[in-house]
Amino acid sequence: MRKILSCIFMLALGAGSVFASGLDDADYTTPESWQVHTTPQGITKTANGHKFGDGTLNVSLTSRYKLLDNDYQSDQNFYQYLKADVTSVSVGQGTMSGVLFMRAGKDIDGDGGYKQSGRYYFRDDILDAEDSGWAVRMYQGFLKFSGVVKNTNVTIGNQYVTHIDTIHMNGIDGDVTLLNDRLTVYAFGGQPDTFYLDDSDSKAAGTGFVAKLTDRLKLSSGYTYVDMEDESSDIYKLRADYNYAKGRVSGEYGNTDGNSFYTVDGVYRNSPTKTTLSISFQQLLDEIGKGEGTYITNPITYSLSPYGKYTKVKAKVYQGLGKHMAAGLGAEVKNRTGEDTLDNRSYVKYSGNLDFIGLFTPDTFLSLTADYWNIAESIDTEENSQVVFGGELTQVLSDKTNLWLGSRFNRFEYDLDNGTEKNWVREVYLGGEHKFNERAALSLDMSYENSEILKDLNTDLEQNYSVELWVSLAI
Amino acid sequence: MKYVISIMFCLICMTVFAYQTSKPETHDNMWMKQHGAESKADPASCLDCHENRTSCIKCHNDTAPRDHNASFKRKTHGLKAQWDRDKCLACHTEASCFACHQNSAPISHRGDWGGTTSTNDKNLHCRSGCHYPVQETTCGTCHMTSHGPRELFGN
Repeated sequence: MRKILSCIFMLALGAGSVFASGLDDADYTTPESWQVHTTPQGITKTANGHKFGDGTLNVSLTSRYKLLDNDYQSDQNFYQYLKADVTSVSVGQGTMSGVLFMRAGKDIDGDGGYKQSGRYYFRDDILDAEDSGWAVRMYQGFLKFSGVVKNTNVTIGNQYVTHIDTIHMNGIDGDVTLLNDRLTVYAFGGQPDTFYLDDSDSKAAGTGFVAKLTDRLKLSSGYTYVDMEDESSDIYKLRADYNYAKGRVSGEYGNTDGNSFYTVDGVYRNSPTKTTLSISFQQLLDEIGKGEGTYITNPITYSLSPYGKYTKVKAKVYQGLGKHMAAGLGAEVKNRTGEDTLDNRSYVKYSGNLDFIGLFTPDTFLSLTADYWNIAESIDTEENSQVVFGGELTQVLSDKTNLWLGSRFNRFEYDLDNGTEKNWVREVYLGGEHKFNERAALSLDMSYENSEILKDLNTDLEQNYSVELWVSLAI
Repeated sequence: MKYVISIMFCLICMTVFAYQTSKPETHDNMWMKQHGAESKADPASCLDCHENRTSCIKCHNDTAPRDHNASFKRKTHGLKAQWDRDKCLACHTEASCFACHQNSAPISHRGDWGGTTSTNDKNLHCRSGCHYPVQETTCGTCHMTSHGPRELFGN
């Protein structure tokens, strides 16, 4: 009893101290490393490069070791990243900058080729499909010339061309700004770069504009042509964005190969009441048939993979509750037009989170989450559902050290070819990051998965472990 | 005595471990689900801090999300793709589906599975029942038509 009272006393003291000496204004901003709860990556930004002309050259190397293990199989990979950039260097009347970001990955178990004869090959990954040596990915490698020719930007090399659409390609992208920065016209062309397909004969090109009609209203439009593995696509988009004091409203219409879709979404933020509200409405207007072709649409377009007409509405509210607590509630409804099929399902989804900011210490961020997803029955299958609940905790120890801990419990109820099945998947993960100085950082992440889903392979197979170690060095 | 030490430890933590994030106020816990739409509306403002899109690439093109675990790889990714394919498109195009589905046959397709041209007496494929339309079965994940596997597979 004494121990319980002591604990309560300590908690009350801790909470009281924080509430008394806490942040002057409510601030629900997540810690710098919060994204590790979604993706456990650890390429840490290291600073202070070398003088390069009147700019700066930054170079960093990151090594990553990844181990996946269970009672029957393990898989180990090693990745080496190189990241370099040159900040603006004067060239003529403008500037030049450059970026190089690439990785080389290797299956260090030395077992290339998927283990199709094994029952546990799901532990392997894309590196096991490589025949030999290092699998190299070029994420970016480009030079950008800004203002070298007045009012123009030209980017040459491997790049993510991001206008109204995004496409990863080797090529050239250029824009010219007119009418006192009110109108920007762009064009690009080159060879799409996908990490998975033979893209040697592929082509991509596009053009478009962005017009600032007023200080708050922006109109943009673009056309993209993509040809990949003898599948070509024509993508047209028109978009309007209106910003106002407390948020934004956007609308986008698109057409890919004759199939139309549109999205309207908006955000409202009211600081005095600590309220954020987001709403989205999306509709696919055409039925995209699954024909005899290899792909439903072009294999590298980021759109239209769903091939049944549908309407989707999403709404979420995030409400601050005092200085140290905030709550989120969300709902999402997808309504399939016509009969639901295996790959085109209507659903309703609810999500909620309760966040504690600065509880116990000013730099503790705790989020408790719960999701429920109910998927409608289709022609040949029953309803499906997923329930998820969990917690995410980040403790910032200093500007050099972060720790994180999280857990998720998933319950799947689904109906494939063999009737309804119910399975649990439980996950726990723990990690940390430490920056030794401005040039060196280390990140370690460990996770444990306990799953009923793997028992169809072996009744004893339910535990899986993974470990990732990242070391970043600035040169 | 040990309780006094514990309390002192808590107080030290509260005062010493003080580090404020430099992220904007909008980057609260809702931001993770909202940042995609915001980046489409105003991509230039993201680049003020996220230089050269490196952080976009790290999460969307390099390192898989935490929930892409063994169970996801084994089975639940297919369920998620049936339920809400839009979410996959945040990172994937169809090309990445085919990268695995053209390399790795399902576990059921081993041993006495047989096939449409097999003379194996056991031929589990033929005993698995007729599946029409094939799109309404898991066969449709790889096989566009009932007896015409995708040209890409070459089998």
